[in-house]
Amino acid sequence: MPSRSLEDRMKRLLSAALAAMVMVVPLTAYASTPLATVQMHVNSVLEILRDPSLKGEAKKKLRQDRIRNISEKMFDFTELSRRTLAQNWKEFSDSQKKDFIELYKTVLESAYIDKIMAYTDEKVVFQKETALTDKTSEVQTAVMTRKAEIPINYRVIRTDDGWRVYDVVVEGVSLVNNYRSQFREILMNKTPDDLLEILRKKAGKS
Amino acid sequence: MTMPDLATEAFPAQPDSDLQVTGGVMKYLAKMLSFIMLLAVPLCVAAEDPPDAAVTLSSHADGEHVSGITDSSTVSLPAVPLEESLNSDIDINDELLLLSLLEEAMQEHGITSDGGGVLLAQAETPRAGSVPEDDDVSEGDGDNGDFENNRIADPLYYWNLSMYHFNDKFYFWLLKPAAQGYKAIAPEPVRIAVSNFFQNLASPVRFAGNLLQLKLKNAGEELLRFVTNSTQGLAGFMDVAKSHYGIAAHDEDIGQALGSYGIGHGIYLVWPFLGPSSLRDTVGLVGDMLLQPVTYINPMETSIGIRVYDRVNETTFHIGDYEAMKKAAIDPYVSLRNGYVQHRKKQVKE
Repeated sequence: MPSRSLEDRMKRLLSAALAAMVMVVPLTAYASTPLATVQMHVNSVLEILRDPSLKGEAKKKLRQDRIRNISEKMFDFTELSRRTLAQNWKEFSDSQKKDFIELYKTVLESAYIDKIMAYTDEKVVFQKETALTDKTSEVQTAVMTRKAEIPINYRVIRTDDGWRVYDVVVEGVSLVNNYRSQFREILMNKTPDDLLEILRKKAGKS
Repeated sequence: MTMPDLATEAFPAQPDSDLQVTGGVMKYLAKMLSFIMLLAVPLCVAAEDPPDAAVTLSSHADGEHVSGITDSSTVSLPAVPLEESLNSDIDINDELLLLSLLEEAMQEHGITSDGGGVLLAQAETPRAGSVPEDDDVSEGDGDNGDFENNRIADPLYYWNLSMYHFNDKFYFWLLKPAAQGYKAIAPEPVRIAVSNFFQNLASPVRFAGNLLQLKLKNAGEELLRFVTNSTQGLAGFMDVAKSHYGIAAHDEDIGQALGSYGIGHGIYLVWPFLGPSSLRDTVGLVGDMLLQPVTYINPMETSIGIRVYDRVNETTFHIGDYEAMKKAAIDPYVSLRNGYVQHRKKQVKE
């Protein structure tokens, strides 16, 4: 009967579709989109913060190290540095660039790690991703506190090993943009070496 | 009209103070209305300025540009190079349409645009002295354009810097200890309720901000929120409009409305106690104050006292934010200035 064969065909189609889904799911879970990548990293940070075995003052150093490990995988510090210095980037020699990337990373990590570790019960909502150029995207997220919603956007760039964050925009304030304005002012009457010295002091303090 | 409710709702909260309610309400209403009118007038002038708009519009043909961030300085500034205009607001078509709509509406009501030109011209003058935006930026893509637009003229640097230091001390020596002490005795739900109450009192500001940008739906929602929260929300202590009806506040103010007309910041200004601002946003701030009933409470000491309480209450939710900014910054003054411009730009864009 035609109806029977239709049913059969439907069943086969369905099982084929199911099989295809089973095969596809692990692939997509392997962080292919900007949103999935950001979500994966942010969630692994939240896991560390919520992990009962990592609670307490004694484990603070351990938590910090774990979060630093994630930040290494999450951010593209070279891209971040290049964009922060913008037109001044070419004024730096190769070794100065290397020093700058390392120092800037240290300054950023020590500046924001306390802020990150202060997060506990706030929920993070991953909203959407918007393509900026053919190799950059912006992932919109929001941290929900009991009183307000804080929009945090991650700008990511496609690299050989997946999407990497090169800028974080909190309530409209771009980190790269903010530091660029500061470095720019310093470099107007100081040399790259002077700037590195300032960063070295800042990195050493905390 | 629901405005008299506002005043009567607001005033009984201070039973001991020496209030002049009836006179205050009328004065408040009159000032609010005349203020909205005053600000609406420059709109007409802006709408009658086609050559500049044409420049900006033609450059919009390039849809490739991703930033789409409002460049507040392009609309009536013909000297801006094409590349700068590329970053300008994508909604300019709509804005022009809205402007002409308002113009029509105003003509209908017999309002002329005479005198508005003076207002607009005053707002524009300082831009002549703003920083040149012709830097050769070769690195990066997309975000450098934004950056150039995030610069602000700072001719009053020394005043601003000393005010920055003053505010820094004010925060660490007075505001923060007060907020910490208050936080210790007032549980979070109480502080949120107080915050809601003041947010509700500021409804006229958001209402006017939305109206001046012709965001009529949002303006209507603000009005609805105000009525709902003032009654069902127990004089504004509960935000039932949001929690029960899903109508969230539309955060607009006069400065943002001015920004949406294409008026730039002018110059950066730091005010004692109030913090970072600009020429444009100071004008907006005065407007915001005139729209708030708290301003009309007599005696002035009571009015200021209420504002201080609002500020301390609000600060309890942000202890640590300023500290974090300072800790992260290489130059906190520059960081704060840039942060202010970026944040306001986002607000204007929304």
